[in-house]
Amino acid sequence: MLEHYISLATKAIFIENILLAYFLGMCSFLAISKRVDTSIGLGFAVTVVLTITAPANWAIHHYFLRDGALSWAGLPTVNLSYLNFIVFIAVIAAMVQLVEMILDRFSEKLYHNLGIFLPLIAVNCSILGGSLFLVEREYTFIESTVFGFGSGLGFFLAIASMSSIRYKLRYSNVPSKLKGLGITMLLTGLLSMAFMAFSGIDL
Amino acid sequence: MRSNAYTLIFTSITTVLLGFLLSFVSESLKETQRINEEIDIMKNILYSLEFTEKDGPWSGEEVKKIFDSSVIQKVVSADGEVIEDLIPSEIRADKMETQFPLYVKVVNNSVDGYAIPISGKGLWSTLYGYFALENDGSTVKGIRFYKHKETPGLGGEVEKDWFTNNFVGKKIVDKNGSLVSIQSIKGQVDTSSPDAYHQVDGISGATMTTKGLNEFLMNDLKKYDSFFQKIRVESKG
Amino acid sequence: MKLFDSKSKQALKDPLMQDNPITFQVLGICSALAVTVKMDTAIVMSFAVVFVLTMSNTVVSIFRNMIPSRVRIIFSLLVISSLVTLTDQYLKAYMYDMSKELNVFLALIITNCIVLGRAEAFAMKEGPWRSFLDGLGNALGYGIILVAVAAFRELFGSGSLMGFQIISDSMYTSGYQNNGLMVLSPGAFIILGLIIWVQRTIGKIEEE
Repeated sequence: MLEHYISLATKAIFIENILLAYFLGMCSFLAISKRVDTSIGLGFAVTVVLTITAPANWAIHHYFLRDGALSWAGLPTVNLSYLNFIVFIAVIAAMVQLVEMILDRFSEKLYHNLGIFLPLIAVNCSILGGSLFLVEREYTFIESTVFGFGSGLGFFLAIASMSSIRYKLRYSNVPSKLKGLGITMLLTGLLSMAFMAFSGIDL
Repeated sequence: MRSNAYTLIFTSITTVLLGFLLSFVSESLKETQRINEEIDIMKNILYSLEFTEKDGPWSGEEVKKIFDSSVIQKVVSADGEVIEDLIPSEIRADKMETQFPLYVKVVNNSVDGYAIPISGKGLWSTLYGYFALENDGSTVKGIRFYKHKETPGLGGEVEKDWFTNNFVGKKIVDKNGSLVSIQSIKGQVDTSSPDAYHQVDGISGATMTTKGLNEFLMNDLKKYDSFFQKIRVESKG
Repeated sequence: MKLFDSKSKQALKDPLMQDNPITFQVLGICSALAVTVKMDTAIVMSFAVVFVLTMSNTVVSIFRNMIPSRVRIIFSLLVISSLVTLTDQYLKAYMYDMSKELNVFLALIITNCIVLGRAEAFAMKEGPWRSFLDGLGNALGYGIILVAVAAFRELFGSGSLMGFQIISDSMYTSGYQNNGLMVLSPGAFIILGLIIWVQRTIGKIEEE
């Protein structure tokens, strides 16, 4: 069973990287990856929030929103799944707020490093995307947690490597019109291609 | 800065209003959505049973008309008996493991094929589809996937014609009549191999998807094995 | 007030080219790339964004003086996610096949930075009519890029446009092959990178 979770995590980190294969979280990826240290901060914050929100949203979907979920309350025919989006985004916003408060209370240093990223994260596609994928793929509770954690690490890996590449890029002679966004997109394409090589792994 | 009470009231009113709006819309569109889902299922059963869209895509009514006129819905038990007066949508949740849906294609009052639902895990997602056999109960008539989230271009190729067409005409039983299912193998099928009768070309780069497919196809066919055994005996006799 | 004074015109026109949300403001790229394997999904996605963005901008702008500043973002998010849910329900009812193809990416319009970004940057300050135009302009600017990327990817990746085969069978028999990379995610990044390059060369714009 443990093997199953390890392979799920490996898939989420490398083979189907949430950023490079599903394009989720691109906005903050492009905006932040200019600097290495901030990239690592954001990557860490995304990992933390994804690991928390994925199981939280799983539980809410499973016990309240899914078709027939309310049968414990005597309402077996009620299907609230149309509230999925609105509830997920609210949970994410609330969780981000919570993490911010906890950090503020217990670790001043971490709060200073991550604090500025937390508001950004609420509207990071990869967080909402993670929650939507686990509904779509019918994961169990533990699978959701593993998937959330794996996806977060995948994001971390992608943004950390991209920022290092962009750091190097400062010393290269890029055509003036390609500078900035253009070359970053091309590089992301190459990075994504490199990650695709992992899809040959037989798990 | 406004007072806390104002903020609270404003937020609550917004939430309640939006909640009502969403419930209202979702409630009023529910019926249309349900019909869509039903028609989608019917359409995929028809595809697997080799009905083809001659004059452009079918409309919803056409799908329903063709389905109602030439497909009979049945339920079979684990020991291969047809359960009278029961249709697939009426199978109770607690009987899912012992009662299985079966769709029979009838042309000019004689049976022309059987479709069964298949589903199982691929690399990423559960694949859902229909698998159809000829009226001899051993030759594959067609296979069709209608829902999966496999990688496009890799595992996603399961829904492509080049892959599904390979299945047509293959046998699910060996010479002695025992179930061998269909195996999609790595690379191309060697036509001189003695196993070629139940093998199809695999999808390169999608080992997990094809491995999953082989497994759940076998499992699903096992459920119906006693039923199809009877069909095979009848069609020989 | 004239219906189209110069500032309103600007709100509508600028985002189409000079201030395009994707290629210049660097917003909303997430969902843009995932649905561009085929043109028809890209077009439906663009329409969905047009609807959500114009409506959310208008609604936020109407209520801009009533919204307590502390819950500003939550309010915008609530409005946006309700609009997206409406679109999703509508597609499920009337364009079932399309909604199956778009699946989670339609929902991801909620976190599409353009929508929240415009609500924050424009609709919170300007009147409803201008916000409406700004929303329309930005959504169309987004749509143009989406459809352009999709056109390239579908043509080179599948040899068709809008599902109609463009590259003839004789080409295939004489050895032409579809570029499989275009269908996969790297293809999207590379095409978008090239489009940005071309657009900036024409628009004579440089970064930094």
